[in-house]
Amino acid sequence: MDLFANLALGFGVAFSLDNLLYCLVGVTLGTMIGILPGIGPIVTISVLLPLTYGLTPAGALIMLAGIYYGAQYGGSTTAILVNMPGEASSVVTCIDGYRMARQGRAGPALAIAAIGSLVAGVIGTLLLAILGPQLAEFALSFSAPEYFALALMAMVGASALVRGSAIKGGLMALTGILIGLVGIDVSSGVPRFTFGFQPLMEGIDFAIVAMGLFAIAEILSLLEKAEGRSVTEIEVKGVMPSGADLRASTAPILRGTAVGSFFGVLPGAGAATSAFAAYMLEKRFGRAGERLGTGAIEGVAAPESANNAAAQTAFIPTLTLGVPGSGTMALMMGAMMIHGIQPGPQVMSRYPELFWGLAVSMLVGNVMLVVLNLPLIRFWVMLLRVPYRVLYPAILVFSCVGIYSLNRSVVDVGLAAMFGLVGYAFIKLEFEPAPLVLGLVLGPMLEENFRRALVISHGDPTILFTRPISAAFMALTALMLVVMLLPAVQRGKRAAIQDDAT
Amino acid sequence: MLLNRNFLGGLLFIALGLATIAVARGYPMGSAMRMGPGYFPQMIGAGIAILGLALAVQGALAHAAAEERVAGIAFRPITAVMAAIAAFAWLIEGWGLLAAVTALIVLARLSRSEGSTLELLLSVLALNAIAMLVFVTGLNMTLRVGPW
Repeated sequence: MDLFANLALGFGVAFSLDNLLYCLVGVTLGTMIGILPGIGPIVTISVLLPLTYGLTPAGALIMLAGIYYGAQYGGSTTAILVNMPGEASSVVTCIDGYRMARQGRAGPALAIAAIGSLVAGVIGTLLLAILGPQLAEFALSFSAPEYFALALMAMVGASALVRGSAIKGGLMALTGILIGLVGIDVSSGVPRFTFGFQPLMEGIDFAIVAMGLFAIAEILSLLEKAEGRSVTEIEVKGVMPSGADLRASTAPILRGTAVGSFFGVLPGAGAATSAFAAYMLEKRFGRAGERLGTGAIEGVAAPESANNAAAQTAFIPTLTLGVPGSGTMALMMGAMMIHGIQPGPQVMSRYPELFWGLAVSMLVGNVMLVVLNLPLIRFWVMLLRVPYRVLYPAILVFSCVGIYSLNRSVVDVGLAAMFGLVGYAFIKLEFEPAPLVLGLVLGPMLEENFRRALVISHGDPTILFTRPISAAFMALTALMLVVMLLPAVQRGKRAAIQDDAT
Repeated sequence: MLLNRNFLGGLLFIALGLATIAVARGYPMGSAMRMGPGYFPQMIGAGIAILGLALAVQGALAHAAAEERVAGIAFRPITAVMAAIAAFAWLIEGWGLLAAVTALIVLARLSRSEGSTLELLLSVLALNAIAMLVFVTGLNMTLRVGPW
């Protein structure tokens, strides 16, 4: 079977010594930042993007992906032990996880979180391996109108579902497209929005925008708040869950995986939404039902499985269609483009070693994470004592040296600082910057395909609605807009979605 | 009281949208069938201005509750971090990595008064070592290390 031949190729790539090392570095960093509050995967990936310029494309993606799903593991550790979600996706884990810890059952809670994540990670990765090629094959029949409609759908979805208002999300996405327009227009050779400034001719490097908006802006905003972190430590005794724990968790883990796999693929929804949805599903329909919220193991198993499944399946649209569903996935796509790989359905046929190597490395990484997390838990908890005043200079050093090393250009460092100030203003005005990177990455693709679509139709925009697949995407886009404007949904969203930027 | 986030943000984006259209009008427009480099940017500018207007109207209609108002800006961390990055940019070419990283850390730490001098010294040493290890030794980047 094809799948096995492909997986064999993936094993070859993922088990090369270099890539195993990148995977280990990725998941270790991911666990670390998952535990540290105030620094999440989107910041870390932004800061580390310049470092991946020198790696192979597969090595770069393997490491960055490890950071992303590793953070889902780490986030649960702090949620359970100190009632503080390291990541937005672990917010609901606090509810039952921390209560279990208070009842002296921190060990089993951590173990179930890790086991659930492992099961979900493996299933999510298998879904990627099975569904990915089929989706890519289907997408090969797409031409310009379909690509335009698809990219539009992803952007509307991501900006509508983000925390805060959909209008603000849309504004961020459009601003991202605008930043992407800076530089020489590929089809006419006209420099746009460069104002005669030479360094802008080639456009603004994606890593610079990400670094400013996420890393520097976040530092500025976090430095305003006083450092009020007191950690009351909880002793972790006996990590092994009992047979009863395992039996009670089996169904919630599988249900959480299903929920997470579904939400992971959708644009805009992500790990945080799926963890919340999985928790609500358990509460409504699970056997634990009423006990949820009092320290039930099911309340840890379901959301932790869901967020990790979503972290894996989010790669499906990114890798097979070239359409990222969230800010983090947009960064992943940016990392591919840095290496000259044009994202889209042809990635799988043209760079099979990249796709399959990444898929297999996720299996490897998920196993590494269990090993890293369970026996070493005491070491990780010590990280909570690291104060932010030690952390942020380190982030700044990596950001500045990384940006400078891109082109050895001081102008780039200045631009990053400027985007830091802009990002700080966005935070002050409560704009979520994640749709902006999405717009930045998808913008050129939108313009290119919009132009081509209208060339095909001789200037008639109805082509977007008369071709069946493109019409379906446009209809879904319209549906998302309508649903988002319904007052009931808006109210529910405010309560439900903490943060889907990650 | 119109000083709430949405109203201010809306105004900002109306301005950005209009400025985008103004600049993009300088590029050839083309036709829908053969779009020039000005076509798409004008659409984007219009979109930004329209959504900005919607946001401003939303802000103007809403009762400006206290929490909706823009929170104060803390100038000390901004100044410290920006000065730190500027010092880094100024030092990296002529004085090299070690000087630039040290200045970056020392200035950035000025945004807060807590923490001992020993801690500062240790983080300067550790971060210089890490930066050398990662960028120069690990990634083989040809960066200037010192002024020599």
